[in-house]
Amino acid sequence: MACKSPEAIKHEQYVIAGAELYAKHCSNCHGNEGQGLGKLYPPIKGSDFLENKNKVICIIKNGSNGTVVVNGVSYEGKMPKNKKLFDLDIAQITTFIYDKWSGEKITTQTEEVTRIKCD
Amino acid sequence: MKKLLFTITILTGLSISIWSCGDSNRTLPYLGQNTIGPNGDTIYHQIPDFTFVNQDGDTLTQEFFKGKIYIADFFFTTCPTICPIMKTQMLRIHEKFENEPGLRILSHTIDPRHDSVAVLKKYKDKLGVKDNQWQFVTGEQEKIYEIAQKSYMVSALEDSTAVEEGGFVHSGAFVLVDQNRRIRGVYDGTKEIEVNKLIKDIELLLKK
Repeated sequence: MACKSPEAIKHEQYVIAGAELYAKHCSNCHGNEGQGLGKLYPPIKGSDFLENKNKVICIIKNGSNGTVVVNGVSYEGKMPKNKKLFDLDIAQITTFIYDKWSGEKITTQTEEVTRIKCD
Repeated sequence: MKKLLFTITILTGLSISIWSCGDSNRTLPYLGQNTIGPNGDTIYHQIPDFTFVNQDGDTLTQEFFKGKIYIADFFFTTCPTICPIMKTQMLRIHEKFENEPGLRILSHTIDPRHDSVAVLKKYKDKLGVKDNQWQFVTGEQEKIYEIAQKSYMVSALEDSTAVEEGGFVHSGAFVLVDQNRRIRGVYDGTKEIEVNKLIKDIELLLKK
């Protein structure tokens, strides 16, 4: 058994916690597999929106009121801001999303979420 | 010899029980309050006549469902909680039975103040539903709540204190109605496993 680095352990913890938070707060609309729902709710899996992580963090943090374009499709309607989510929760959700649908092993840090500048 | 007989008995017993669990003999119950008619025969609970307006602005009545089986549910387009899951599941059913003329789907909005004909039309389009099998209807709020509670036996009501639910409380049930307007099953439309059962029951009803 190889010992895991503290970073890898933290990443794993964030992914597990993030998965639970995703199931509770995000999957109703975006689907268990991140597939979205028709043109009502955008997918996360395979979404070009993931190319800009700051935008992802901001939309989870502040919600969205206008049109969002994902893979060339416009999605209207609002995504509510969830006041119950702390910056740590948002860091964990973001880490989970990128781990699951981008295969990225970089952990999103709570401080990043706290300090981020959103328009 | 005794042992062999015993084994045969067990095997026969097993095969009988497997046989009787087979789909071919399965029947669905009649749900709701049944009454006894003047001749002593059972009169099953039936969905009464109704008049609503669909996503195209056309009047929709029980006539559209005559001789068909259909699934009824209650939702609203701005619902932030269970409705997207219900619609994901209903979409599975719609896609599976897309070319089945004997099946229809009836989704009632419980928020007619917001969900106008135009809103429902847009919702249907965005969900990707192109044919007539799946109808979205609006109408007088009282009539919708009444048919939900008294006829389909599911809960639907406005509740301004239910902030997280979007101001309405309603069940996520899918109600299966047969060719004679009788309720044959109620399923949790938010659970994939329940909807799998509904799909099996639809197939069973379609065969008859």
